[in-house]
Amino acid sequence: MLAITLIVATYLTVVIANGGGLVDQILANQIRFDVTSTLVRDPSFNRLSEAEREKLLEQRIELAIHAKGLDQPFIVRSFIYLVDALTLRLGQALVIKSNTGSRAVIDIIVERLPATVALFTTATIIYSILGILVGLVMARKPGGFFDRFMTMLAVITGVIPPWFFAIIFLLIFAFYIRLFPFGGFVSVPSPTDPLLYAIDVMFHMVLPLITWIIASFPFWAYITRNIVIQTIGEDFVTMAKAKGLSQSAVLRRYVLRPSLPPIITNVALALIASWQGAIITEVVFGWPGIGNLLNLAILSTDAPVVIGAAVVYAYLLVATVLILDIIYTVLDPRLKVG
Amino acid sequence: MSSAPVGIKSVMHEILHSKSGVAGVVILALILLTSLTAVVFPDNIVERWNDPQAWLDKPRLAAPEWTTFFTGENPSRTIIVKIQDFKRDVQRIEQLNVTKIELRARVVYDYDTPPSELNIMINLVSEARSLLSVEWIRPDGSTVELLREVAEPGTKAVFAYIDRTVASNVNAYLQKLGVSQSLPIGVVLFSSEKSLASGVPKLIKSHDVKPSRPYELVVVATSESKGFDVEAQLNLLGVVYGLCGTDNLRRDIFIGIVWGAPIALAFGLVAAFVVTLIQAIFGAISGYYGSKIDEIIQRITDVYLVLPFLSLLITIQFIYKTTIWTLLIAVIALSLFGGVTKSVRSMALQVREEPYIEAAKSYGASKRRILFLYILPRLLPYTFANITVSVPAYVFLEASLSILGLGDPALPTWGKLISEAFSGGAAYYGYWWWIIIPSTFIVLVSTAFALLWYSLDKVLNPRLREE
Repeated sequence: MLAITLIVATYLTVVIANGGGLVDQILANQIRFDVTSTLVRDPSFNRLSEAEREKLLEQRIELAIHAKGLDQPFIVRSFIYLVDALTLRLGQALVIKSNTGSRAVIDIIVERLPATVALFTTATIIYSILGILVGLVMARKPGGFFDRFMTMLAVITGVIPPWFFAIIFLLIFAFYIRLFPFGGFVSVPSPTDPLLYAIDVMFHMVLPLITWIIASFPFWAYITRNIVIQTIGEDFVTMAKAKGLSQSAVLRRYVLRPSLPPIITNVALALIASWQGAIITEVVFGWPGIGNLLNLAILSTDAPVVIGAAVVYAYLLVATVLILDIIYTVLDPRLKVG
Repeated sequence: MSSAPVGIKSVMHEILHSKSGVAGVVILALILLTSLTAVVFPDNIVERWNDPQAWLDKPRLAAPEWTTFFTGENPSRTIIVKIQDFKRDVQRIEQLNVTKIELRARVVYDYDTPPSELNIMINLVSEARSLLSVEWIRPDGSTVELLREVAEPGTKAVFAYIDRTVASNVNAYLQKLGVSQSLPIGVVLFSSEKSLASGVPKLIKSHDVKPSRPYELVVVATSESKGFDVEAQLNLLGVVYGLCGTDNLRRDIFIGIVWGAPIALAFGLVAAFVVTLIQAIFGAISGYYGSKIDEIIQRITDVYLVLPFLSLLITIQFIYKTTIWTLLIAVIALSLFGGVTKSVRSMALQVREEPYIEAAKSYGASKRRILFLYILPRLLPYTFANITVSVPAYVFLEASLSILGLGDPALPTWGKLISEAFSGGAAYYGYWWWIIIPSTFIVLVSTAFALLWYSLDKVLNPRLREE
C-alpha cells in the first residue's frame, strides 16, 4: 500500500514539476536555438543553397532532439522519468551545478544536505524537547493562566510561518542590536582554521535556529499537552492515583509511557520534514541548504532537481513510517496483540 | 460529543458567548472597517499602484507621522503648492515684443528639518524657446538662484536636490558667500545666509523673523511666442508621511494595507472554506460509506499527504505566472484531500453508530439524506473550527509566494508589501515601518481567527479544558 502511495505521489510530482510537458517544450526550443546558432557560424554551411541549408538544419535538430529523447510524447516520457526517479537514477541537472562542478542531481543534493540537516535537525530536536517539557507543565493545570496563554500562543505561531519571524528578527537582532549577522553560512572571507570555521558557522546559525525554535515550539507544546491530558483521563491513571503513588511516579510510569508513541510519531515526522528544509526561511537567511536549492531549481525550471529532492523526501518519509511501526510495538505492547 | 453544538446558529452562539470569541469578532470588524476607508481613495488605485508617475507627490521612505509624538521632534511634513495656488503676474513688454510671466509660491515653513526633497514641476506652453529663471527666497530675505536657462517648451521636472544645474548654481552661490565646504542643497536652501557664511548652517523657520515671513519660490519665464503660458507646482516632500509611512517607490503604505485587507481576507476565507468543506465531505463519505469507497479515499489522501505542497505550488505559479485568483484554484486543487479528511472520517465512524442514525435508517431515509442532513451537521462545529485556523494560514501562504517573487503581479496584497519591504532591504537599513506595519495587520488577522478558534475549541473538546 505504501509503495503505491509512493509511486502515485512521485508520478504527480514528475508531471507537475515538468509543467505538464511545458519544460520539455522549452528544452526542445533551446536545442533548436543552439543547433541553429552553431550551424550559422559554420562557413561551409553558409555556402550551401537555401533548400539544402533548411534540410540540414532540420536534420540536425531532429537528431539532437532524438538524442535527448524529446521526440516521444510527454505521456511516454513521464513514465520513463517516473521509473528513473523511483530507482533513484536522478540524472543530470539542466542548469544547476554543484560546487565541485558536477551536474549529477544526487551530487547537488548531497552537497546541500549537511547545511540543512545541521540547521533544521538541530532546531527540531531542541524545539521538540522544549515543547514536550512545556507541554507537560501545561497539562499539569489545564485551563490555568499558563495553559491558556500557551494555547493562544500555539495557535497564533501555528499559523505564522517561520520566515515571518525571520524577517522581524533580522530587523531586531541584526539591524538594531547588531548581535548576529544578516544571514549566510560563514563570514566572507571564511576563517581557514577548522575550529574557527565551525564557530563561525555556528554563529551564523544562531538566528535561524532561534527563529525556527520560537516559531515551532508552542504548537508542539500544545500537541503534547493534548496527548498527555487525554492519557490522564484514562482509568488506569485514576487507578494508579488511587493506589497512592506519588504524582511524579504516576506521571512517569502511567502517563508519559503510553503518551510516547504519538509524541514520537510527531517528532519523527518533524525530523523527516526538517530534511526537506524550509524553502523561504533558507531564502531569507541565505542559508545554502535544500530549501534554497529547491527555490533556485524552481526558478530556473530545473525539473530534475525538483523531482530529485521530492523523491528523496518521499523515500525518507516512507522509510520513517515503516520504522515507526516497529518502534510502536516496542513502546506500546498493547499494539502487538491487536 | 453529546454536548457539542450542531449547526451554524449554535456555532455563532458559542462564539458570541465567550470573551475570546467576541474579541476575535471585534478585531475582524475593526480590520473590515479600516478597509472600508478604501472607498475614500480613487478607485483606480490598483492600476496606479505600480505606476511610479502616480506617486511623485509623496516622499520616499518616509516614517509614519505619529512617530514624531515619541521623538518629540518636528520633522518636515509634505507641503504641495498646486498650480492654482501660485500667485500669477503676467506682463506684456511691447517694445521687446515678449510676454513675461512671474509665478510666486509662498510656503510657511516651521519644521525642524529641511524637507527630504524639493521638486518643482514646470509646464511651458509655448511655440518657441523661452527664458526661464527660478529663485528661492528665504524668510531672512536672502535669495538663491536655482536656475537661469533657455528652456524648451514642454514639461520640466526639477528635482532640486539632485539636479546638476541647480547644484552648480548653488555651489556658485556658496563660493560668493565665501563658504569652501560643499553642503547638501537642502541645508543650503533652508539655512539663513548669516549662519551659512559663519560656517555653522542653522535652519531658519518662518517664525524666526519678526514679523514672520514665508519661504518663496519665484518662477519667471519670458518668451516671444504667441499664447505663451507657464504653470508650476512645488512639492516639498516631508521626512514623515501619513499613518503608515511610504515605501521606496513613494507609495503610501496605508493605501496598500487598506486595499490589501479585502484581498487577504477574501483569499484566506475562500481557500479555507472550500478546502475544509471539500476535505470534510470526502472524510464523511469515507467514514459513512466504508468498505471500497473508504479504501479509495484514504489511499488518495495518503498520496496528497506525501505531495510536496509548497514546491508544487511554487512550480505551478512559476510556470504559469498567474493572478491571485487562479492561484486560489491551484491551492484548492492541491488540497482536495488532507488532514481534515482523516479526522472527519474518524468522527463520522463514531457518529455512524449512534442510535439516531439507526432510527433514520429504519424509517427509510436515503443514504445521501443521512450523510448530508444528519451526519455532516454534527461535524460542522469541528469543520468550522478548522476553517478559522486555516484562514490565516492561507493569508500567509499568499505572503510566502510573494516573498519568493511569485505573488500577484498587479494587486497590492499584504504579502507583497512585506516581500517588497524585504527585497527592498528594509530589514538591512532599518525602515521598520515598512515591515512592521503590514506585519502587524497580518498578525492581527491571525490573532482574530485564533481567538475564534479558541472559543470553539473549548466547546468541542471539553475534556481538554477542565481537570
